[in-house]
Amino acid sequence: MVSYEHAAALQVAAEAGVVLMQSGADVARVEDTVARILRAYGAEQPDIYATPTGIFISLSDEETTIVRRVRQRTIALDRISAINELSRSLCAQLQEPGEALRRIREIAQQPSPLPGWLDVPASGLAAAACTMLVGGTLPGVLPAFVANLVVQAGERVCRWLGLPDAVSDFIAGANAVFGATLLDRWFGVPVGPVVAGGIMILVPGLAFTNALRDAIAGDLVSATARGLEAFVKVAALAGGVGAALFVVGGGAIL
Amino acid sequence: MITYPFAFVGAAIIGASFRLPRSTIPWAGLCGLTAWAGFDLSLRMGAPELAAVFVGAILLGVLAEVLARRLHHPAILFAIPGLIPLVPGIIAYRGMLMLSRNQLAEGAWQLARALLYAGILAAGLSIPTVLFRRWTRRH
Repeated sequence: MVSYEHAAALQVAAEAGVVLMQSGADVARVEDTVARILRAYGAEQPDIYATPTGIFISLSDEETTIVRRVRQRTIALDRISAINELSRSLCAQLQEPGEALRRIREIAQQPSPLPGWLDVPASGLAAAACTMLVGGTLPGVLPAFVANLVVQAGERVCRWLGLPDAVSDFIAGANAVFGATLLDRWFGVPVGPVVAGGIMILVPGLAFTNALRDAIAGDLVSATARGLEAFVKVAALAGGVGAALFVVGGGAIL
Repeated sequence: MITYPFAFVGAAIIGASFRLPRSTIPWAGLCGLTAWAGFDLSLRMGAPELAAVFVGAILLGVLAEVLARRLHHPAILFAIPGLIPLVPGIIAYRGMLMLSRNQLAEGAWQLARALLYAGILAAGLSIPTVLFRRWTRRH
């Protein structure tokens, strides 16, 4: 195989790796998929080093290397599934690198299966459901849903304004307290579980768990990065909640 | 028991907002329910808290791997929403809040607990993955 094709295969593999990483896949899966695609194109002994902020791939037999920066990261499970399917179909039947690249860009652009207008209500509903899991009461579910709509809508506004993540987390934490306090004053719903449910889906428990999954798999740099990301997030949320509690003069929470 | 439907609904809806393909959303709910039921039932049978988390995580891991093979999607699609009911976000948050209010000892204890929770969840989830990979072809 000529080296031109290897360079093209490298592009395909790197693009697939970047989309996977941006969609919240773990390092082991990213490295595995990139290696599979490269092997499908006949590259031997690829060295792949994926981290949450960048991917480095090198072909030892060709002396070609590619470095791709990964910036935003969310969770987009439909993309993980689609890239996985693509990499498997590449192994079964090889596609032109240009064609595969086009398909990957298509996956990266594909709209969410959840319609946009449902996004905020769905998150509010999930938060209300979570309220029950952290000791909420049945009559509190509807108020919790309302309070969490406010939190979620505020979070979208912050994102739309382009505020840094830590700032919007701080605001979300404060919003959760304000919403819950109003419910408490108006309807006598206990504050604790409502705040807890509201931030439950903002809180980075998932990021903590994924950090430890990477750590168990031996991807220590990635584990450290994800752990720090989670730590900053939880600190900002708690800071927002603490500041808002100070303002409303709330007592003990949770 | 009243919490069980909420574990299902919470996991399914969070799955949807994590952009699950529509056909897999109910299965993600089932994963959340299984993890939560494993945790809750173990607690009721008198297991220590962290052991209960471990049981929930193992059950979730097994179910996610089985569903992955049945439905031809990566297991992570089922594992991530399924984790939601057990994830230690609230504990970590409570710890940070206590630190911010100068309750240092209590805050540090809660943070350590969150770390243990996360570690045990991750371990419990990894074990079925490793075992399944030994027996079958990867999805």
